[in-house]
Amino acid sequence: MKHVLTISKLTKHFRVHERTLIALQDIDLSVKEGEFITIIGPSGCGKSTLLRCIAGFETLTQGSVRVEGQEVNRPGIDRMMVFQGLDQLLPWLTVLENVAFALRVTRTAGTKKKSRTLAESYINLVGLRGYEDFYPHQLSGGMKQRVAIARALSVQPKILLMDEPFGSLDTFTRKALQEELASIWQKTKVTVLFVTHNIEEAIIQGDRIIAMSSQPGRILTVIDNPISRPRTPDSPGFADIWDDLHRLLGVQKGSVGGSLRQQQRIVSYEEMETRRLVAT
Amino acid sequence: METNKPTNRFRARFLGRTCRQIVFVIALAAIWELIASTGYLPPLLFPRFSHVIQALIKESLNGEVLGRTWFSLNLVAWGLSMATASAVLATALAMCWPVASECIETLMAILHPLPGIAILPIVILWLGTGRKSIATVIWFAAVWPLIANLHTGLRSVPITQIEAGRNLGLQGLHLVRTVLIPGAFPYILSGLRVAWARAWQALVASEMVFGASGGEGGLGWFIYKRRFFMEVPGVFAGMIVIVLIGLIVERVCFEQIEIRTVRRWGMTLE
Repeated sequence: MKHVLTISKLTKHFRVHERTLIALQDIDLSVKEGEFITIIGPSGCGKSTLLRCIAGFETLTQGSVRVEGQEVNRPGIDRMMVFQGLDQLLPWLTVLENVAFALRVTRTAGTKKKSRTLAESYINLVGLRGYEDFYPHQLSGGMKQRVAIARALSVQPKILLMDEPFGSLDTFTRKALQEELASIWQKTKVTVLFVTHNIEEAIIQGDRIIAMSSQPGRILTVIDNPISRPRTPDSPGFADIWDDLHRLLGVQKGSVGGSLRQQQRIVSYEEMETRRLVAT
Repeated sequence: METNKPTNRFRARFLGRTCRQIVFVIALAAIWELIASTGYLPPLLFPRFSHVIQALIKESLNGEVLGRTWFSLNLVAWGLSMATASAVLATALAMCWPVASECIETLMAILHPLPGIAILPIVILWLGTGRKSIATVIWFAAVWPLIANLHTGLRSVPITQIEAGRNLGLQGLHLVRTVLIPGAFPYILSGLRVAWARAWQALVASEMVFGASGGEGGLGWFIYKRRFFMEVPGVFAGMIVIVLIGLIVERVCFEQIEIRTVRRWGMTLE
């Protein structure tokens, strides 16, 4: 299998209030085609920034991102992102029109008829058959994220970038979507980079788990996940990886849900980036 | 799965509400007629409702109402289109250059509080009496709410949506057309509504200023002439026509658009 994504020496600095913050430092990563990678780390460790750099929404301070050998520095349909927020769908379009819009605008399916037919098949894939004529505001959070995934997959990207897509959802919906995502991945064989702050989610989903540290954002270690799918907390070997990650990331054992909390009140990079965007 | 057709439900509610409002207005008219017919108030100051309706019918039949309305609506349309074009230009500049944005904001802060009619004397000095002056006053009244709403609207589009658009390869004018403008639509509609109301008021007020319309005239001028000749029922008739037009534009035009767009999409501003 070839490398679909190669990141070398990626460094990203932010200038905030005349200080330079090192969000990412010398990130090196290679991803093979069809892999499901989870990226885990505490809030503010730069995992979202890493994804945004790969997607092309951030300019790199140093280093490069290569997709199948070609360097990329701006957004493109080869790296489709599913955002955390529940406002990524276009509210004036129905579920079907949202996916069809993506297809038409990227020339994946140019004609109205073709785009609608293809959109329907992707909506079916994410389990939303019958909801084609609903507007986003009529959908639940989980359904909205499913549409977002359908839209992202419909243009047949090389890499699916998921930035804590289930973070705003309740536990039940999250679990259901995790399973659906796993089955969609097995069907479509797309390469997935999945960012999460939930250790359990990281181990369940990821064939390779990348643990990151914060300040500066660095890759602590990459864990190859030997457990075979479907993975549950009862699976043999799960507890070992669980302990390893907890130790690595400096979290107290027994934290609820395995989430990582900041020990001190350090402003996260996400927060600073949001402030920067709001100020401009 | 039930088809998602909001129009039927809204239509039923719209008709119900309209019927109740019509009944209320008829009740008011009846009270007016009763009070006026007692003769307690001088008919010159408070004519009977039936006389007002008579005057209205008379002026409709001789083409006055239609002619004046056409004149007024034409002028408003002219002023509003110029205001819209100016607002689009100003906002485009403001989005591209922060300097322009600051200048426009400052200009707005200074000039927005001025009612359109207040600049009429100056405008008459510069452009003389006639359509041009009134159109300028209309433009002035409408342009500031349009700029404010367009500017706010474009900035209210969630960044995530814009990035989702960029992810699909959209950029520049294509991105603006497909993501930013529809995203800003609730504000755009709100701006047009406010602009229309201010333009209509500025128009009628300007026409009432003697000589402002230079001989020809719209509904404001119609009211002015009736008052001049002490045809008080005609004055009220003119006012009714002005109110009716405002109502029609608001209920038949703007509200219907709002139902089919902003409300259907769940993008109401409240």
